[in-house]
Amino acid sequence: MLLEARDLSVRFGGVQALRAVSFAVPEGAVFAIIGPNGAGKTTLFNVISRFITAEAGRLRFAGRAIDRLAPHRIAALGIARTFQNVELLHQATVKDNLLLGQHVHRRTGFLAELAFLGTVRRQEIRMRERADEVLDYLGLQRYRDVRVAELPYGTRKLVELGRALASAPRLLLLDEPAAGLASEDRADVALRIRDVCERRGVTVLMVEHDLGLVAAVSDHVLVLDHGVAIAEGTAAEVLESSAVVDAYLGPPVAPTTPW
Amino acid sequence: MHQAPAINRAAEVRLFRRGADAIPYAGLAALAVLAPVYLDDYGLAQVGLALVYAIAGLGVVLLTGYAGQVSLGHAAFLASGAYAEAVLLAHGVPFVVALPAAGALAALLGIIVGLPALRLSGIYLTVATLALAFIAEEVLARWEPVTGGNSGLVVTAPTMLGWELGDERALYYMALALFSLALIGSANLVRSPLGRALIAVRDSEVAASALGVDLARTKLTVFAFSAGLTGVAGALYAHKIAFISPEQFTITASIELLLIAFIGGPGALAGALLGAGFLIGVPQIVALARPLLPPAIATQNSIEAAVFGIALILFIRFEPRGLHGLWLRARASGERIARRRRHVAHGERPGREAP
Repeated sequence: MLLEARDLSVRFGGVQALRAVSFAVPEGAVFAIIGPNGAGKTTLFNVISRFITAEAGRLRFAGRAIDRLAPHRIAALGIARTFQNVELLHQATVKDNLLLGQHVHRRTGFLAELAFLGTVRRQEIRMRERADEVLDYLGLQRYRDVRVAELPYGTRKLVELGRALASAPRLLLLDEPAAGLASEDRADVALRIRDVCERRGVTVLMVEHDLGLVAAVSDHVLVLDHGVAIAEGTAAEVLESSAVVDAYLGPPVAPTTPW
Repeated sequence: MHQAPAINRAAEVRLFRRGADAIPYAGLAALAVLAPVYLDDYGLAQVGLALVYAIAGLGVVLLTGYAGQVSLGHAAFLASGAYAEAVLLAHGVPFVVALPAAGALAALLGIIVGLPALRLSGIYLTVATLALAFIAEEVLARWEPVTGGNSGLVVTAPTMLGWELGDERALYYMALALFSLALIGSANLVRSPLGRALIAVRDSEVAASALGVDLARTKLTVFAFSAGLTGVAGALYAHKIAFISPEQFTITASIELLLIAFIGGPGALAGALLGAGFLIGVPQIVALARPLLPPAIATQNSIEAAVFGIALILFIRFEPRGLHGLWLRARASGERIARRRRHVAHGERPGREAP
């Protein structure tokens, strides 16, 4: 298993955001986490990114405990992520964002960069080659030198995906990759997620509300509701289970007459 | 289908993409080197002082403009550089050792102060550096055996290889050389991974750490470098003034350094030079204009402060990119006009252009 979570619990004051959640993401799979608003999905991502420390439970990545690492060490292990609200450098160009995405591959120190030694120059060229490869892959090459602030929302989401891919991750965390996109862009996102997994060999863990997208791309689905894992299995199994329908739509209510 | 232009990555990585891009800078450098030919000693001293401030200004632009961290304690780094230089020279340490030592001492002080303060974000660093500024002022005034207290210190003229470098021309060339070095070093950092990490820290700490940027280490690095540059500027300042005392290093000096960045343009290294020029130039212009002003205003002794304040407000309101932003605008409209001329010359109808 690439990522293993066991009995993760998180509490914010009086709210139990996660309650003993366990799951395992196999290498090479697309694993989706679904659930209504407030179910704890983003909290779970933030635990993996180490922005939040779980009060109980264990988290292992590629056999290594990551529960106590500093946030910046997570990326170095090969875990990249996108954000629900797109956290790009808006005043920087697309290319610069993809170069920043490769920060974990920085091998030069302060003094070498101050003098811009040959190692720094070669590293910069190498990082640009890598950025251009990802831009070509995502069809973003024409936006290479455009500032992110000038791009439409859907393109920004794609750039953020590109920045995550530029770090050549083993595990990619996608926080609502289809949120805010038009329906034709959603279909495109579905294709890309499958392709990233199959052709680039990146394991994907995603949070998504669009159940159509989840059904189309996921190998595995975990359902959270009020911080509790209520169902897990293949997309077909889970999306048909009554627990999921109840969590999303509320339990069936006996019809009442208004008079 | 849109055809993307061929990418020349090697050229992109260079300081100047095309040789032609370096021409304006070469012109500026020639103008600077030849300054003693067309400036008298007074003019030279003023331009030299602007260059000294611009060295510290580069540090502030990197710290505040790039990394988004505001320090009110840079007067302390200026002071530690100045006093270290004066004390080391007085003890017979050669100038070529004393100057880097002054910078290193300021950088070390930056690390000591920054280590606890930079783990916090935003306003806490500002408050911690404000405390540093006040403590430094006290230390300068009270540590009499070393600093001479309120009666100050006389700074020995620098010598190198037996040459005395105390005259205006030598000080000017020294400031010019060190500013050029600081500018090239800063430009190198900005086009390196560290430079991108600084911008990431400024724009989104969450994204930066998710991308593997060590926030505390990155902030500490830029804070120490900024302090070091300010220390070197302090050492040169000590030579220019030849006499240093605590009242030159009050909180006002910290604010002047911030003014350099905000008026010059916090987002660009050139802003440091433009802002320093403004800081040194305004008192000159005010002095020239004073006889022309109505007596009620001309007799005020804080016209300069008013000019700085008004300029700061106007820039923040209308052009947050500062003087450098004004330059960018002027260049853009110049290019627009040139393009339109070309169109007309080719008999085309000037139409709307893509932005």
